[in-house]
Amino acid sequence: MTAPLPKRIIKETERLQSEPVPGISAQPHDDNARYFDVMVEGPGGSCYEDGEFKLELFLPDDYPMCPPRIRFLTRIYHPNIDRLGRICLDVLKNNWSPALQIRTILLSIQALLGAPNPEDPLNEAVAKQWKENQPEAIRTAREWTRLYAKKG
Amino acid sequence: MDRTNQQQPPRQRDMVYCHQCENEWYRDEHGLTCPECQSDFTEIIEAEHDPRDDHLPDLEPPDHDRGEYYGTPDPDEGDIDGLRWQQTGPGQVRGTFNRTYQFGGGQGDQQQGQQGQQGGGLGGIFGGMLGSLVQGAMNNVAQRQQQPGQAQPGQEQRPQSPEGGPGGRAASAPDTARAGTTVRHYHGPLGHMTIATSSNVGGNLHPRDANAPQPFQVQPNYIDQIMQQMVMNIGPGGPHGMGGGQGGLVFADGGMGGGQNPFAAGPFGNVFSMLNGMTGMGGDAVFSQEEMDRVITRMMEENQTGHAPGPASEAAIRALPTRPIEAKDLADNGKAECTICMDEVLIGNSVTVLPCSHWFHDDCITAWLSEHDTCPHCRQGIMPKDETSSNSARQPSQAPLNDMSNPAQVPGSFPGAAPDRQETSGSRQQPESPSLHRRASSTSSAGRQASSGGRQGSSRGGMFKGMRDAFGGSRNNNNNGEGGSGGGPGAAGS
Repeated sequence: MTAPLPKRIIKETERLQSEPVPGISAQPHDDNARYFDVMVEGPGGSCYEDGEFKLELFLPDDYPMCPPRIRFLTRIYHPNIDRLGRICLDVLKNNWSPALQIRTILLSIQALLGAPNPEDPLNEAVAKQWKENQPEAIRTAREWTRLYAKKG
Repeated sequence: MDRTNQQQPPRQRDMVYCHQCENEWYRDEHGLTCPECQSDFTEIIEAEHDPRDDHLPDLEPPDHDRGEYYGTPDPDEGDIDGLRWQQTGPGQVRGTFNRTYQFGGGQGDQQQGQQGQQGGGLGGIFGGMLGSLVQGAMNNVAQRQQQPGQAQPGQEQRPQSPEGGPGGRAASAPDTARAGTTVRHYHGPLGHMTIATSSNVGGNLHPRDANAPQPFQVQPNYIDQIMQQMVMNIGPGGPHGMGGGQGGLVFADGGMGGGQNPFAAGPFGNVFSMLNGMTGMGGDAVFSQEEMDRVITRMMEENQTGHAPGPASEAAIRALPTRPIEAKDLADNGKAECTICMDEVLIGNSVTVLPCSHWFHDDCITAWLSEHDTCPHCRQGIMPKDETSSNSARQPSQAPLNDMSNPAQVPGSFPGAAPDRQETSGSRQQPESPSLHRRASSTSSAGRQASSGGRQGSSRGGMFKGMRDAFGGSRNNNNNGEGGSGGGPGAAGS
């Protein structure tokens, strides 16, 4: 890291440790304070319940003027998350605001798990299944959660 | 000249060539002396040594444009299995070659092309052959028409040239000695295409000698033009045409652009990229899923904030009022912070206030508004509505972060330029820039924006004016009168 770490990133990191959000954790890498290992629990009552999903999060140089880059590492069956873990979420794109934080973004992602939106799909195949046969899609999502996101 | 007497090929009629006047005749008809000029500086034409080669530059049109590929090795020569030219009579040659094409899954399809002709050369053969290939691929009907004596085939049909203008090409080879031009038009569901070939009688007798370097390279140049034309004339309506013509561009981002295509360097580059697009034969990495993912990821990242609202004008940002932090601004724990930098602010610290009354450090909010005209908290813009509406980036569906919690902050209620909000924040401490001066700069800036291309001023007073009138007219409570006049210069600027 050549540029000094902005105060905001230090503060956010401190607060993520000191006031953790239940079901969410974000740990910066030792050698890169802009790169975080993230864990998000599947929201209770959703088909991702009891799943523990790993993500990676990176704060670009111009953060907070532009959104963090974030991606699922754990496989997940979700219409707004594709095979590579890329997430279709408005606050990560057009609707980013510097008043948002890592914490709020992760909460938004957790909420997205609780409310899949097949009308704005990133993963067409999953979204199609979600619209045409929702019970089957939910079964698959549960199955994938059990297979790939097992708490351990 | 000794050789002419020594070597008499027994089986074939000998042809004799006159070095003086370049005449040709059969030896058994006119002997070794030229029937035209009576010169005896003549030579029997042999397969190993064709004396006409030495004279070929004379036949070349002096102003002919050889193109940028002149003299470079033909990248496709390697896959021509055998190219043989035979002299069959005065001015008559017969060319035979074999060539293997691969389509789709890689099954070979041997094609044999044979063409006996008077001149014509490679351009005619390749043009015709590719024409039939492409015609088959496009499943369409061909029309032919003859346009004798036209030097630049199909020049009129060519809509534009990718490199330089057609004018440069037109001037390059106005050789009226060329006798015939064939223009083929192909129309199909995938677009249309025009292939033009010229057959030349007289001036251009000689085929390219595949076995030796040869200065006379008109044919490859024609092929280059033909290929350009083929690619250009495939309209954007054809999905396969798009794949061929623009594939390189799309994948250039991923580092797999045309630069790495071994065919791209030669005159045939266009054809091969087009055939690739047509058959879906992409080769290797470009069409792998991994590569595709990489490209898409990159596009997504680059387009991350592509539809986000555009920036606020510098004047509007500068005109934002400031005020000191008061006790009521502090949270329950007695602290307050700028939500952009998360630094603490203390009572008495100066902050910049947006029309929605949310406040931030001046530097912080300036940096944000210079990119996006939205309040970080509620997404309300600071620009007058009629200007931001033509910024085109704001989406109607964008809900504010804190939805409608304050009914006084209906978006339409700020038609005036922001300087006039000076009224509501009397404590702004900028003695060196009085309000009048500031408004003047704001005005001239608005006028400039409106006159420079109309990016900001194009839809002024349209649909959004109606909305503003409906919503904002009665809610103009705290920036009245002056606000209206502040909006005036901007409107007048258009």
